[in-house]
Amino acid sequence: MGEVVVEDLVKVYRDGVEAVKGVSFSASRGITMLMGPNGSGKTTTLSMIAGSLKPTRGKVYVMGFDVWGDGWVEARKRIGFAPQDMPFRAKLTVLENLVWYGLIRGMGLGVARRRASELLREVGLYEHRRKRVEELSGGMRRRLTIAAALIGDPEVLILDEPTSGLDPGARRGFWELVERLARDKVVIASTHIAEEAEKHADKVIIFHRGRIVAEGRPDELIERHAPLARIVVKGDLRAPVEVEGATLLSSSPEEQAYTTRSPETVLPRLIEKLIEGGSRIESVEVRKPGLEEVYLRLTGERLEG
Amino acid sequence: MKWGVLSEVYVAVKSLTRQKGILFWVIVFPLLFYGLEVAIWGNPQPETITVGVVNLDRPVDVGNGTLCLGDTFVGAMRESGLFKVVQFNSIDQLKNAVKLGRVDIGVVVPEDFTSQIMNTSHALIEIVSLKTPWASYYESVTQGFVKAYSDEVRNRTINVALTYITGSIANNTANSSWSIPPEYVSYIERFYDFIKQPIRVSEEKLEPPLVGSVGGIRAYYAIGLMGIETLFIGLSMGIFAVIDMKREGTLKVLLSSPLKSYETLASLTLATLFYVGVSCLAIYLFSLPLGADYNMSAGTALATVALILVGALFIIGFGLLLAPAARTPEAATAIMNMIAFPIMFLGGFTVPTFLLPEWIQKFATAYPLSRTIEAVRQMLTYGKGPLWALQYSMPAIIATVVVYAVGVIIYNKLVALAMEG
Ligand SMILES: Nc1ncnc2c1ncn2[C@@H]1O[C@H](COP(=O)(O)OP(=O)(O)O)[C@@H](O)[C@H]1O
Ligand SMILES: [Mg+2]
Repeated sequence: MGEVVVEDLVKVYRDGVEAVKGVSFSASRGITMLMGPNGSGKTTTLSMIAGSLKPTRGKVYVMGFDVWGDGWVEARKRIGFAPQDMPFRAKLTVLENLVWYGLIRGMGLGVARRRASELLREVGLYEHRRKRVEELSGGMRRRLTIAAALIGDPEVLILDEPTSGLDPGARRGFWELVERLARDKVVIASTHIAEEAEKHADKVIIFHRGRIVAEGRPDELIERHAPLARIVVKGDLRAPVEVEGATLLSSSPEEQAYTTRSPETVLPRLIEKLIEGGSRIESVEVRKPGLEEVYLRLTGERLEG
Repeated sequence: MKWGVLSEVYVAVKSLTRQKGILFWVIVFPLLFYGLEVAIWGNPQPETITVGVVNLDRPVDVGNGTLCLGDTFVGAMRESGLFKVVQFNSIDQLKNAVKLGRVDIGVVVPEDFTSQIMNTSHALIEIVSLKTPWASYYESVTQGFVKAYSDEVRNRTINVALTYITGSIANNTANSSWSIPPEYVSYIERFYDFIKQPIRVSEEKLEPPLVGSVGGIRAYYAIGLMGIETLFIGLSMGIFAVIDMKREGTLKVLLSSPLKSYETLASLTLATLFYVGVSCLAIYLFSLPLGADYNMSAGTALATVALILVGALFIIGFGLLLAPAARTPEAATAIMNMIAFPIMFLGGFTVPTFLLPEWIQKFATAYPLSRTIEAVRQMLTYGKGPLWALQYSMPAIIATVVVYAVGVIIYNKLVALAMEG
């Protein structure tokens, strides 16, 4: 039983768009990522969990409290929600914005100020506390977003595409920060980047057109749905060769592709045989499978692009 | 104590000096506007005075016809260019018109006007005015005119008398023993008394009693401006409340916070009251060095705060009633302009109520925000008491309770609708 439980959640928007079509999952301490392309229903689902969008049907329990029933106040006290564009009051400074978030989460002014300063130190924005939010860089703004979501000391953090627009380095820094600050919390985030989910999620829930198509640990998902690595050889090639454990995928005079479960053992023998056969090899590339492939396998569609 | 309820006040306090738009509308605009009002209307208007006249004068037979000095008096008023003359049939009608502000001042010419003057006895013109800050100006102009007319009568009388006297002297110089007959003595005494001031003025002042001064006029405008600020700040909060939170995205985080919908409304309301308070205080403080003079006491001050609060709550509720029609920020702006400006002009905030046409006066006394502002004016410039003001505002207070309550329901509906996505 997870700390956040979602049961058969459905959302039909007023214009008739069925954005989420019966989604059930649970999330425990650690980072759970909803992964799926744009329009697959991640934001809609997260908003229903966070309490800002009313489900057409279904239940959400946060730490045992019904978000859309009797326990709504208690549930919301335990949720820190960062929508995709975390709203900040334009004329307020970085520190003041955090204080405002503290106030709406029920903290007193003094307590909110102290906690806001603390959080700014933790996310490394303390020296920028007197700046306007609009003066912050993209990365700094994300860190402020985390601080704002954390100010009520919620047990559950909901982060909608928290790294969108960041480069891979900044993304890594962001998730390190989340792991440091929210180690004991339930973090539910969304992403459309497979690599990010693979690297930083403890649990991945794959969304496709408003439905969950698979869920599990990233390595489990890969093992289960896309276990094969791909070896691509380029050059002036003769006939393809047969090596135990490898399957030929495609072949042309310039390029041959093989799939295998264990590229480490297959690769040396494959190259040896190709050379023996008279091929001249220019490059060899091993593509390890990832969640991108998992998504492709499950849906027949590419995740990005 | 729920701190969340103060969250918007916190934002308002912090934004006030930084958000140029807010700073302008809350403080700079009213001060500029007030400065202009004082510069333009801060002194009584040197324009044509509308005077209501009841001419009861009866013609007197003279040798070659009849004479009616009342008519010549009214004719002279017309020709002076100072007055626009409106004739009335009875004194009651005249007083009524003065009270409603349809005429600036009233003049009664008595029925014995001509006969008194022909008898070289004092004639009495009655001036009827309202105790407003402006009336003292209208009064002095009217009195000045009567004085000038009286001087004219004196000059003519003296000329007639001189002709008569020189004639008598010529007839009687031959008779060296001629002396003034004893019966003429009392006549001559009366003549000289008459000639000092042939036409006298009596005054009647009608309610409302006023601080009749330049300070009163300036306070009057300042209070009107407080009404305008309350109108604009409160109305825009009501109309924009939900649409702005949606646009800024704050609604999402508020919905996922433990705050209940009525608490977010309370928070917005308090922030609005903060802005209204700052604005009214700024106008008050600014008006003092510009010469505004308020009938200020602990009681009137307290009642003023209470009445502005009522007015602000009413207009916030009124804005919330309009909010469902404001589906986009553009629509909200359009509604705001369409509603705020007419109310500003019809509500009697810019121009003294009694100078407005009657149908506008009806609106201005019925519209709750106008009524509370009028009550404040009556207290602070006409010298009415706080209890009177509260009593006078009673219909407005009741309307406020109703309108704000309906506003709360509408706000909750709009938030619930936003929650549906
Ligand atoms: N407010 C809305 N009204 C109508 N349709 C919406 C609304 N928000 C999202 N949608 C639709 O719902 C689907 C899922 O959107 P969303 O939850 O934002 O997906 P994601 O976050 O995965 O990109 C999309 O088809 C989107 O167009
Ligand atoms: Mg999204």
